[in-house]
Amino acid sequence: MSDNTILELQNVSLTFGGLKAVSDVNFKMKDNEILSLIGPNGAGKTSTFNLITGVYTATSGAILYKSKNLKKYKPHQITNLGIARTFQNIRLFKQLTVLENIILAMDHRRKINFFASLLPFGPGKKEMESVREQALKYLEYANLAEYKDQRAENLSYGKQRELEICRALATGADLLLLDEPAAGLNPSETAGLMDIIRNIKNNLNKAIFLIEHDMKLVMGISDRIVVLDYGQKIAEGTPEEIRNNPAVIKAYLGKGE
Amino acid sequence: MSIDIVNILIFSGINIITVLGLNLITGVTGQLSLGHSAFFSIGAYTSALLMLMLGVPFGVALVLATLMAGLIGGLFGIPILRLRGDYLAIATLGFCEIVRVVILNLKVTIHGSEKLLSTSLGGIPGNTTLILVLSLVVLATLFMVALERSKFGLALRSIREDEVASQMMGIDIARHKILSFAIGSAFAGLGGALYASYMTVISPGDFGFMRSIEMLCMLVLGGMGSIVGVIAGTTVLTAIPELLRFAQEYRMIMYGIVLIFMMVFRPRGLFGSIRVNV
Ligand SMILES: Nc1ncnc2c1ncn2[C@@H]1O[C@H](COP(=O)(O)OP(=O)(O)OP(=O)(O)O)[C@@H](O)[C@H]1O
Ligand SMILES: [Mg+2]
Repeated sequence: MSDNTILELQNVSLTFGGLKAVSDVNFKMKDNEILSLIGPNGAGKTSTFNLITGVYTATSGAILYKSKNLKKYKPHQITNLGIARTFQNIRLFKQLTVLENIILAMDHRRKINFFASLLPFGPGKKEMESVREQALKYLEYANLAEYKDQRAENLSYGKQRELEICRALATGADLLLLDEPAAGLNPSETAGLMDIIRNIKNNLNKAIFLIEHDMKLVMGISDRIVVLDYGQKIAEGTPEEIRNNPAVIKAYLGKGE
Repeated sequence: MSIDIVNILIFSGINIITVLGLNLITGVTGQLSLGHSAFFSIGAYTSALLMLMLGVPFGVALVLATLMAGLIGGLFGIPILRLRGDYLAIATLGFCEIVRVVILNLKVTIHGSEKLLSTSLGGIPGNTTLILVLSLVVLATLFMVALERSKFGLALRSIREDEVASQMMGIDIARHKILSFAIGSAFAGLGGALYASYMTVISPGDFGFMRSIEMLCMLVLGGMGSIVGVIAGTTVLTAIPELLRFAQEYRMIMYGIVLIFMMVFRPRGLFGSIRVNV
């Protein structure tokens, strides 16, 4: 592809029984932008993430990542292609250490023979050491290195959110899907989060697709915004355009938000 | 009344090897299995029949029985490991019954005469010695320690913690679960083969589903996911009925009490440090 489109949804729909959770949604995302997906509760935002990551299969339509139709890929293969995500309700490997959480994200990039990986010497040991070193670099980048040997469940809520983003990054993905990363954070933590997201985009050149209810964060950070309501895309544009869009205002005010 | 220490050690060793396999499946990977005794019986009968029917040497029969249980475990794992929690437990329970019924209906030819496996199968060469069992316990333990620390073992632990997140890290959870099931079942097969050659007589009644529950009790007492726990829990629950003869008749009650006591007072087991939500 000549343009820099990284992700494209073409007429994507998803139905649960009679409910249209996602309805004929179209949009494109560039490989150097922060795109936000907003909309009232139950609008179909998380469902859209689940479609992109292969957790759900679209009832109709196509999802293209770097021009590849994702239909024939299983969820773990989609991660291998370069898409990683965080979850609305944090889903860390709670009883594993912070470092192990990161090492797991690197799993699919590790090329080590099963038998060699069992031996406490030779190539298995060497590979393990280099993986630990790289994993530590990710933790240092996220200012989490001091917690490396703690269980993930013992971190504070805000740190757990950061670790989840760090873990998504450690998969080596080019596209990060962040599902309400600011949920439950206080204002100063949210401000810190904004810096982290900007930093990932600008210094690591990742594309970031963000679901968020915190409008200050969304308006402050997004290059463009897509708005969903009852599964349908009702608007798309820059933060300015969205702020003044009557359909968007109606969708939010109509629900008393 | 004398206490037969060798007897206790051999039974403990056989059970440790077997329960190490169950620990991999349930404690490490988080997949509740109530069918572990099926693989124990597959190992026992494979090894016994190879020796009796084909005159295969003991060492070879041991290896083939291990591989056979692992293979069947892997194949069986393909359809059922899509299931979770209660459904998985019931499917493994069903498998346990299927294996028992199949064995009950098998007819084999030994030295030219037909034999039904529904009755006891005797004359199995008694090659299982204390030294052999203890050496295999050491090897099995070292293997499991290494496996848990490896890339593969870490991936299994992530499946126990959160399947969806594990998948989102790029881990092929179906493949990992099947391999875990195959390796765990192979350990049960090895245990079964050692058992057959220690008892020299086996019958389908030795391997019912209560055997699976017994194995699970040993794991729960020691602590799921803990290798030290497997060794301790298994040894204690194997030794008690041998040491206290009167406890023999009440062993099922004893298992029940152990389970209830552990659930109430020490859900993570004597040596365990993790919760397993199967
Ligand atoms: N697995 C499922 N089965 C049935 N219905 C579902 C399922 N997942 C989501 N839904 C429904 O689809 C609709 C969209 O849900 P979704 O989680 O995508 O909303 P959302 O925009 O992320 O909302 P929120 O802001 O509350 O997180 C909702 O009505 C929800 O109840
Ligand atoms: Mg949501």
